Amino acid sequence: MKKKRRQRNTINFSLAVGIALVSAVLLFVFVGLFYTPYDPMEMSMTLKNKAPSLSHPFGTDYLGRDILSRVMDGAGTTFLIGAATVLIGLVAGTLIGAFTGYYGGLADEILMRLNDTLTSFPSILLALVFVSVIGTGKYNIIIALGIIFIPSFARVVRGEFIVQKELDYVRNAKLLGAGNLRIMFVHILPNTAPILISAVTIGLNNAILAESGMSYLSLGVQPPDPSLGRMLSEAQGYLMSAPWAAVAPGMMIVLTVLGFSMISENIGRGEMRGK
Amino acid sequence: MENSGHLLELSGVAVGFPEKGRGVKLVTQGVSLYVDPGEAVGIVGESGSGKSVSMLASVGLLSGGGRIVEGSVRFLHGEEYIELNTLGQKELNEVRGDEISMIFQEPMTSLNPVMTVGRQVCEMLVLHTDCAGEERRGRVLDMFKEAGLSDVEALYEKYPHQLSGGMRQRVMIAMAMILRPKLLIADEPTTALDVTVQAKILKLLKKFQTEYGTAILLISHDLGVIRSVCSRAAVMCGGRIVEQGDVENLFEHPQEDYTKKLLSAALGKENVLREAGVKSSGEVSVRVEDYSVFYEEKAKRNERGKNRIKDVPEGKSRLSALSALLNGKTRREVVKHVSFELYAGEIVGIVGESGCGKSTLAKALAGLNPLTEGKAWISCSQPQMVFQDPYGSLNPAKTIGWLLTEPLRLHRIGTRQEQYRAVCEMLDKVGLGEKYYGRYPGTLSGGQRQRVAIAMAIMLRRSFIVLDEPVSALDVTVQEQILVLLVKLQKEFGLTYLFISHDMNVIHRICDRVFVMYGGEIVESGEASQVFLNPKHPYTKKLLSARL
Repeated sequence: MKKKRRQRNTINFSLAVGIALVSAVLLFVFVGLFYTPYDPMEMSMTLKNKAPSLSHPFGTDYLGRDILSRVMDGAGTTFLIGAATVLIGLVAGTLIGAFTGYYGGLADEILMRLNDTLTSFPSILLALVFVSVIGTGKYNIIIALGIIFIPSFARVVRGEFIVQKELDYVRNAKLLGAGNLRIMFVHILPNTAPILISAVTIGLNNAILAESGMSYLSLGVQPPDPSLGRMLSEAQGYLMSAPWAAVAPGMMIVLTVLGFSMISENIGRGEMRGK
Repeated sequence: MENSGHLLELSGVAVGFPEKGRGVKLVTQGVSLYVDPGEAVGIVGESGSGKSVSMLASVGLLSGGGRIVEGSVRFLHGEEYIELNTLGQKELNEVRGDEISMIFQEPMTSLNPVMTVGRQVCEMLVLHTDCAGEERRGRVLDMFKEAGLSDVEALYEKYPHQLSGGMRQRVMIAMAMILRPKLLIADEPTTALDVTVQAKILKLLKKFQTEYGTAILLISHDLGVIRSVCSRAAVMCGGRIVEQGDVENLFEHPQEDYTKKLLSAALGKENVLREAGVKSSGEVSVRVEDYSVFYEEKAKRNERGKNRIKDVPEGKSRLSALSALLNGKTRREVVKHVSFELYAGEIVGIVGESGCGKSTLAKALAGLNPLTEGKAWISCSQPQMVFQDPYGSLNPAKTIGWLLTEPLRLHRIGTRQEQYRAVCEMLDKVGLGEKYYGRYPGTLSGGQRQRVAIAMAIMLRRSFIVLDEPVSALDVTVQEQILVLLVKLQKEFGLTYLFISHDMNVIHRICDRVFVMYGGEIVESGEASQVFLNPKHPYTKKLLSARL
């Protein structure tokens, strides 16, 4: 019994670190929703580019705004966009993947070629095209990135459905009288959960990075609203004189991505062990 | 050490695997066994009894850190003995291959897939002899011929995936025998093969034993295989040898309970589960007339256009011929115009080797293959089915309780309370009990899973159930329990079974009537006892003679 427990602990060490990182980051953002030390928008000409101090633990930016407050607020925006993006990709991708994988045939052929077309462009470039059509701003970014995330989920789900639909338990369900929709979403879908969970964590990573990238290019969140990417792009001009303005949002992105990566890697490994 | 004349001698061998943390876990204990030069010795036991492990450990081929922790393995090398378990890797390599060789169960994975088979057999000569060039090639070709392979020149250049299972195993044997080793260790050499091929491979082993004087150590779970090759045998159970001795003696007068159990489970000749002449009501449960089943397959490129139109069965409209032409698919007739009737309360077996169409027929009757022709009338609405692989037939993401409730839910039978009670009752009936309700299939053994699969098939109380190789993936002793359960449930619920199997013994034990299928047709049918005692068709005779 003792032996068993020790074994489990060593295997899941990085999972524990990942969970700790992600929950610390989430807690930070959650607090930011209700309380920030200063108003993240409040400018002050006297406090321009101040180095970290007791009153401003991460310093202030080129307009004298408190960076800690802006990171708390901005990370919330970034996460919201990331989560919404992944949700769009997940729901649409799962539906498309489930139908195409389960039924196959002509519709599968057409949708998958469409999928290939989408994936053959660099995703940021594609997002730029979408944004130039539907306009910039928080919600447009969510839609643009969401559409770009659909193919990866669709592909993963489709592949899994193609494998699962040939298994005898699906035949058995048919014999028992279950309809196609029930087989797809009640019988098969739970079996794609392990692979979907890792796809979601990887997707969250990519979405956070993509939002940062878009905002960095001033196509996402518009000033004066903060987001992690926006803050990085603003800090760039003062990298030599006020590097702390880039450190805080940069660290935030690194820690979040690292945390999600560690979690997804462990989920993937656990899945392999189970087989 | 004294010279006892034995070729290989294991005394008190205990094999252990290192456990996480500290210490070793012993998997076999006190295994003592000897093989004389030129003798064939068998080791028999269920999977997990330690029979393969002890042999692999003796020749230093065990992976996962397993090793011999106690006892010794001595091998007669020239005039004197060498201790295999103390040899270094280099000396061991010299003995292995040269004087001891092995063949394994799965001929696909034991051959290198990216090397031609000729090259692989050649490798043995490169490593252990000085011969080169044409001589080497000649020796390999000769060996192929001796191993019963034809067209050896072409075969030399082929890759393993281009060969059938039987041919691959022959190549393996050629590779093992080319250096005329003194000892051949064969680990389940025929388990992955069809019965008819099995018999040929065993004959080949026997031939090499008598011609070259090679001693054979045959590891198998199949008593029939052991009996047809070996003169002496050891029975292993739980990591120990429980009984050993002369094969005839061992099989005729087993001393230990375990041996008796194995024997009765495997042979089962005098142990038919169904009383002879069970009269069914005469009521027809299933009527099949002139029934054909097809598979659609993508035409191979070089066959395109050639077979396509021809393969579309006569009487079909031109339209279907055209559609077959357009999407490049051909229809292959897997089951050809079979007709039979099943009566209520009967267990009817279909027997034949893999690829004869028996599973295809079963799936078509259950409605899982729409490409059929002819008439099939079944008295109940939707026959249920039990599949071969208990690991694939239960949804791993659901609990046992959920799985068994699903048919009731789908057909809106009863309230939640009633459903729960019905499921628990069914779990009791299949010998599992209520405590399995919340468990996941992943935590169950193969036998337990198969019980759940059977329970699922009975939940809807349909009178006709198709059993597609329901016990083939199970150990002999578990097989026995499942067969007993099937017969019990059949009586209790008045079911009609169509029982598909490649195993003559299983069919003989459980079925009232039997159909023998060969190449998509039913070549013989009749009362099970009649067909087994008095086979008419040559293929049936071949199947029966291959059995033991």
